Amino acid sequence: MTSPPSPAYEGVPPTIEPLEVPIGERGLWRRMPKKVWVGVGIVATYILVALLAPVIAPYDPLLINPANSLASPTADHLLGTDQLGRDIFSRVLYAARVDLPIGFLGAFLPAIAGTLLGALAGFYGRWVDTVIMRTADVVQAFPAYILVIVLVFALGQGARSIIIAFTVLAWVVYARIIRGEVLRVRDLDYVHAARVAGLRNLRILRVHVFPNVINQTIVYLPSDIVFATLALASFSFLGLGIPPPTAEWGAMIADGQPFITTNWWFATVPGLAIVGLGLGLSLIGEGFEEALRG
Amino acid sequence: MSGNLLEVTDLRVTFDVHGRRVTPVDGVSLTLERGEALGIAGESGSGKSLSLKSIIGLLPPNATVGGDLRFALDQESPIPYAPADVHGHGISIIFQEPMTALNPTMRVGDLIAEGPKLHKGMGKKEAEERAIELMRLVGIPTPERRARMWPHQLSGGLRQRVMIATALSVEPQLLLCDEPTTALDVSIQDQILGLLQELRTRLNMAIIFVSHDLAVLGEICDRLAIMYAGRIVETGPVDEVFADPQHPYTEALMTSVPSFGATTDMLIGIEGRPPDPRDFPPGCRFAPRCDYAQEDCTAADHHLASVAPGRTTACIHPELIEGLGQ
Repeated sequence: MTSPPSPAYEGVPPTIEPLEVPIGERGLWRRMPKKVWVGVGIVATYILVALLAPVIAPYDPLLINPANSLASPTADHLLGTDQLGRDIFSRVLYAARVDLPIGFLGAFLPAIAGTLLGALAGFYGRWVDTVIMRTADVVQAFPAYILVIVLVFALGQGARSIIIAFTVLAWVVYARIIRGEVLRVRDLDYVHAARVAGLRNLRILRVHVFPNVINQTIVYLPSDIVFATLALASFSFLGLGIPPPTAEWGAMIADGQPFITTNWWFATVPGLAIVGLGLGLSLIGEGFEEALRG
Repeated sequence: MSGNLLEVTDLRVTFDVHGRRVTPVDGVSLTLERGEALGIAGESGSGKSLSLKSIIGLLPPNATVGGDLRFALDQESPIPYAPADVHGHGISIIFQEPMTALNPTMRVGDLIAEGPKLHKGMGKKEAEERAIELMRLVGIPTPERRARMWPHQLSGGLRQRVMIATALSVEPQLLLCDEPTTALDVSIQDQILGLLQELRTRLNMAIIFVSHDLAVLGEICDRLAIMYAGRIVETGPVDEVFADPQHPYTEALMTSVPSFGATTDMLIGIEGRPPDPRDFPPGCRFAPRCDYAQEDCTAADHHLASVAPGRTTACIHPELIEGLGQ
């Protein structure tokens, strides 16, 4: 058998068909609703604050001054001082350097792990699916917060343990979402066509399946960052998060709570910092959802 | 070079549905010569599409395929193969729905270039040029510009042409067509059929074309196989089958289709419904709906008997068929 004859190209009648309006790859960004940009602005401000905290904070956040504790806001101390005389404004700024990385890592790592595991489970099926999804069942069988507390105790208090605990817990959601999507996409004609074209499994998964399911992760991720940040604040509030004296919003709320009637700004401002970040991320998440799920 | 390209013997597709065995394709045998175009016609659920997909192993995991499949990949005569052997070599497929047949996250040029990159060892640049050549071959105007577009920017007809270009990128000897024109409007349908016909002659490529549309099959095929309830009930050259059907189902199928400028404007539907694959009737499966059914039909074994050179029928009483109301 000789190889099939090489195609000749002459004489193909040109076909004129109306062109649809070219949208181009920047179409997606143009389609993003305004709220995304508002959200991006808010979150970018937080990131900027975290980066520039050493420059813009008037005081060292850990500098204790017992002589000037629980001071009211003045020109010197814009938000007063806490029970140890530390500058609250500087601490709120510095706390962004703790809460942001943990919130982002604590959401990105499970998103990556869950997306990959869910894609593998859905694409390969059989025992791969069984192992991954039964593990997910086991994780989900525990009450979420209890599991994090147990893990943090086992691994020792600190940022690293919290991120690991969030990852162990939160990958499950991504795995379930992505697995379902992969099951849908796996049997679409273009995946079949890729198989018939002789592409290997890994390439089909990477090029033909993955880009078409990743939307779901992107839509869910911003709200998960909110969750991670809130969870971190909650654990710190309970004394299980970042150990003192590090400035952290949840821990600051806990510190300020006894003084809420006299120095209301002490607990409220870190609280507002969390709310603002959550708002920005939620706007991004909602906007993504509108644009991507149409 | 002539000779058989594909030989399918006693193909059986069985699904295990909640412990019950269902056999929607039940003993299909086909042969296909090099460069030949075979049409498979039948209603939805007749097993025509499943038969086609089992040739290249595109069945869901809960399906089992039985029977003997042989393909002449690089040999003189067909030899047994596994679907993975012909993936990317020798056999390609195009689908019905151009919306779902192209990866929406890939530029069409990159999509077409995948095959050449993988199987011809072409570099990026070379494969891109090859993709543009292929787009030109399937009649896509300004291919250089369109290669950089995304599938959603193309019309249905152009998408179908891209799908054909992708299928051709591995230089197949056999192109499987799973109702590729059904989702297109009639004028585009005609263009695509013309294109396939032309490519077939130019590339000496065999085609199996599955459709419920007899007019489409008549336009592109040399030979026709009519499927009913998981079995082939009649085969023969297209013109002869149309002129003188030898199975009551074929006849019924033709009288139920409107034809432009027909002498009669009567359309006759087929009584009853196609049988449920979970519960096929005994003997001839068309007997319960057949106008000519005799007592012995429900006891007849399925067997394709030769009635004329190149023509077979499963009907045991073909002499009773009156012809198409001449």
